[in-house]
Amino acid sequence: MGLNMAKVKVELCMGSSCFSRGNSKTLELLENFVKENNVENDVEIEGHLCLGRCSSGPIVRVNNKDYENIKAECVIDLIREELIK
Amino acid sequence: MLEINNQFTHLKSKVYATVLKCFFNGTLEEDIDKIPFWIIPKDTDPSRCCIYKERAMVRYRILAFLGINIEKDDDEMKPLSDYYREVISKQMKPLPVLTTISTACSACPQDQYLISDACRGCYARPCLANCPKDAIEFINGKASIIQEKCIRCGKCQEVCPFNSVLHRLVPCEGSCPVDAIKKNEKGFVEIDYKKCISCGKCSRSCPFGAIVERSSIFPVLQILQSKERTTAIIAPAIDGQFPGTLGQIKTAIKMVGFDDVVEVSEGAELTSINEAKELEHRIKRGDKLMSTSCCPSYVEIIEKHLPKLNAIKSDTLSPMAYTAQLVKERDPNTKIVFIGPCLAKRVEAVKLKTVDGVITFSELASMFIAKDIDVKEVQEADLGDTHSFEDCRDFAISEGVKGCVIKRMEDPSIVKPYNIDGIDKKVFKMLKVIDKIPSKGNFVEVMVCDGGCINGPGTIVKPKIAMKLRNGNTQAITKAMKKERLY
Repeated sequence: MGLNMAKVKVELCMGSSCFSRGNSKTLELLENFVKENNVENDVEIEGHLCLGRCSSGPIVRVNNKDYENIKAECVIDLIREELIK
Repeated sequence: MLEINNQFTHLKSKVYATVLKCFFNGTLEEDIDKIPFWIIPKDTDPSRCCIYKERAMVRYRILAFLGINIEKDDDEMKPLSDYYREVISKQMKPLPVLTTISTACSACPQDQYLISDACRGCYARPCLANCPKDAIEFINGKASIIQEKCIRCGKCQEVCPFNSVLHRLVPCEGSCPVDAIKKNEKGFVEIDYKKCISCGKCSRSCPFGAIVERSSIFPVLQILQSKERTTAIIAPAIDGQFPGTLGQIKTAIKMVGFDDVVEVSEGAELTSINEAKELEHRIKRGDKLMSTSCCPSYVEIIEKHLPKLNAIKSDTLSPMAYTAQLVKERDPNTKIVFIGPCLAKRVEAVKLKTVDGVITFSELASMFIAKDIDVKEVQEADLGDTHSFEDCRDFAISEGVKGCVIKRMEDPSIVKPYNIDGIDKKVFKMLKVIDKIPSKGNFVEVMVCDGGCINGPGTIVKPKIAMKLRNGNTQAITKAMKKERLY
């Protein structure tokens, strides 16, 4: 891991809807993942206020690509993939 | 509880609409003192002693609509226009929600069991045999109750084969689940606000209209006039209250002056999601029982009477609280007005601080009348993407909340749900020991109004008809409303 020079940017909607729908768990897993794998310098996590798409949430944006209704585990998989790229 | 269709509700809606019409025309200050005379003209056939008392009552209805705490601030020398000027120039304390009009109170005597003419003085005389206090005597061959001995247990009524025992009630006292209604030394009604849970059952029960809600519509009207952005958040029970679809109701609300309309069902989905998580967590932790938390009158019961139930009440926020949060996240500068069937929501709003105003469906209906808006004639507004929270519109109906929560659990098989549909004196007694009695399940939905929010004190349509309309039968309501003249 960490072969990629550019940082992986993960943006999470932290509006109360997305937060309830799963982004609270996603954030927790994500922070653990980053810590456990020592990729603090390769992954940038950013929170957002409501993105206005509550009913299709939780919304996660990985390297500017939007994912709707996404589970925490899938986000980790996505990041793993991006890191290996 | 009084049937919704009665002379008092008709008068109330007439007073509301007349006041609002003048307000929207900008003539309220000069006209407000004339309204009692318009509504009760000289040739009226009075239902009370005389037209002057009727007019005085209209004056009190107007005071309540202005939000005046009649009990404390009634000054008969003061013209209504003075009250009105005060209302629009300074902020009033929004609580307590209810107030009493002692002039309207009929000082009903304590409830009594009486033997009527239907008594045949039968041979078996089960009343005599079953009275635990020997309070039955026979005079001229007919039963009679010795009131000093009677403990009002009702046994005689149960056993009489001729149905000749009648129980004369005190509607307000009888309907209050928490015994917050008392009579003063003159026999007139008083509310003990330390006990009152703002459920509104007393005000809906009094056939004299002596207990009324202090409206908080004027602060809302001022927000609407202020040009600030204002979002109406509409309770799930609204579907079924007006002769039109939800889309049409949304349009009509915008025509009244709101900039945006958001369904509280959206926040109800968050309540469901979070309550589902909490329930799973609590069951795994070993909790025996969790209750819902969305009914604000139930929350008041816990705060004022049964604090030990805090341990079983879910910590999840109510749909109104989540919806206000969602709206503020999307539009931080908007004011938020909750439109619902509930009086106790006003107590919750005061605690929350994110909701700027609370009005009822009956007040909204008066706004429609005053502005000549016919819901069934207006264009349908786009409701947006509602698929994820459509089912949460059932929060308004008894058993709907628990259904939505269980649906969102990861493992619904661990739940044994039941529900408390309406709280009266008896159910309140049961609530006191709910954590001790053999449990009927581990998840209980609690609603203080029978049938759920669609039977709330701020509704204007009978629950049965509202249900028909919710299921798409629009004709049922148009017919009923014509008949009932409520809207």
